[in-house]
Amino acid sequence: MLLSVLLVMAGKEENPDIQLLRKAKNGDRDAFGELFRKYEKRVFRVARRMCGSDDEAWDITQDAFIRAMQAMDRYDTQYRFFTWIYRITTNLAINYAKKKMRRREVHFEEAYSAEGQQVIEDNVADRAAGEQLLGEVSRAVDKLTPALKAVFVLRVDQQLSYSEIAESLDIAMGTVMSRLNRARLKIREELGSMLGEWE
Amino acid sequence: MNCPDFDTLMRLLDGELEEEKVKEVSEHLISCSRCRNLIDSQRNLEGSWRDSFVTPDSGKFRSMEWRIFNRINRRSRWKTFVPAAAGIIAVLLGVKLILDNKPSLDRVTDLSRRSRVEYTTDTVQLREERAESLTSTDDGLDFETTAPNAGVIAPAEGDVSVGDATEEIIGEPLGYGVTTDGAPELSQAAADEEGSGESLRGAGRLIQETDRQVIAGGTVTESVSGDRGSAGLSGYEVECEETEITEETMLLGAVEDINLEVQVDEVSDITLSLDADTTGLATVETVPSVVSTSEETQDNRTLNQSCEYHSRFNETSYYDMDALKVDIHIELVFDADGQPDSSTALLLDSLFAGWSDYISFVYRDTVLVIPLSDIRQLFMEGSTVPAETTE
Repeated sequence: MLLSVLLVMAGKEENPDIQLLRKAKNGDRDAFGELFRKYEKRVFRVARRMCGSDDEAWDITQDAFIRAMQAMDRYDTQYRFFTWIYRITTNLAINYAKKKMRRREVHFEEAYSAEGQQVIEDNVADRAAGEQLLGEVSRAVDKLTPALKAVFVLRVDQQLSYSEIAESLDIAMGTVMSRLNRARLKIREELGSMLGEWE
Repeated sequence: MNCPDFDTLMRLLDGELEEEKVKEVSEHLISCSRCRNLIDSQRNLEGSWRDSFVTPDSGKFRSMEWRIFNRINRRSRWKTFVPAAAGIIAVLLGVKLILDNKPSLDRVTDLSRRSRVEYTTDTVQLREERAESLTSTDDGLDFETTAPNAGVIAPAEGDVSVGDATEEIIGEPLGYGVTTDGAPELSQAAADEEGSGESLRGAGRLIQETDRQVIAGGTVTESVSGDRGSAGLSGYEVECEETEITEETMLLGAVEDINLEVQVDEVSDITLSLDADTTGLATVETVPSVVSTSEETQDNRTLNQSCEYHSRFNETSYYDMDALKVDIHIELVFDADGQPDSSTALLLDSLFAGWSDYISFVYRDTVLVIPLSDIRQLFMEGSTVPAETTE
């Protein structure tokens, strides 16, 4: 009996992040600031690792927090907040990448003044100047499919455990392991003979 | 032991290998340089990649924090409306607002340089701080309102209307009621101090318009004009006449080195307006607000009131692009089928049909970037729609 009471009480105890989220949703500026500062760099980092530029990473970071606030009602509080915000972030990054692959960008003034002339902007991955090896690794990571990249980024960059990655991406543990394995093998394949430099 | 597979070695590297296998694989590594090198190379390349990340300085995060909070609490922008709503209650009680003291232009220019403008490097805070005081005169009918030190830094114009007001009053009605003509019906709940009085509830409609001028920095002057609401309590009857509020905010003085970000896609209900010399954005929002007041009556009784307003705001903001040095553009996003995303669809609804059709047809699978300065073309009636369209 006592145990069940304690369990109920424990169940009612709300995660501090959720408390902050609720307060922030109700307009508490300090609560939002605390929550944002706690996760801002991690979210940005995941976004930046997942996409091709700082600008995109900023957009994704902003969208991730806005969506987290807006979708609070759908948040299952049995999960940890950071896995939820990671899920939102990676989903946004994946969607962003898909859209980017599909769409060209046309500037109105060019299209209007010289009809038919359309500008297609290629997004070129940043090169780590003077660090060829690192640049090669970055390029190899960039070439991963979004699904593989998400697992790789959460494991290697954020150093999440397999179970945390599974929770963040809402996939099975086995899927985490197989994707991570494939991602690593693809990167090694891309690096080829350069791998010897790392040993 | 044969060399473990790549997956096993990587799980050992990640600390995720089952305990019973860790010892076995670790022992193998002592004698197998190939597997050892594989783990070492993977650890090193991943570590280098992880450590190479350069986190941006916190300035941009702070700016973003502010921006996100304001976006998700858009309603807070209208907190400045609360004093105005309080004024509406005052009107219901038969109070007239008197404001005066318009500054001269010279004074305004001077004040603008000392304005309390708050901004970050990449965001303009459209912030208004107002402090209003209501002072009852002897007869309890006249109020004076002052609103010093406004920090609005961008010019804006807007109309504010308030409708569907419901009111509940607990306490004995004041005795200085004024009845006016042509008023919509408004009934109220009332109960006397002993609790034996009758209780009446009802709903009414109130639209009030005032004129207000806010100058950046310094003293804010406000004037209330038009059909001043004069209503009051006479017995248990209240009548109120429609009045209107128009609000005008002006900026005098340039603001430099500011990158104003207009996130059109986040505005839930947006229309564009180009009926002024400068380009402008107009937003329309419906904002519910609750205003509660507690007031001592002349015979030392307390009058508590709570009104809920569902207010529709029309705000048009005008920006001097040269002064603000801003680069505002709007992105229209179309998928492979030519279908606009939701915010694009909203904008297209505002365009003239010819342009809307043209844009939707041509720009499939495209993000069309339109500088704000060119948006004028899309809204000008009779503007030329390209005759030939190509994909």
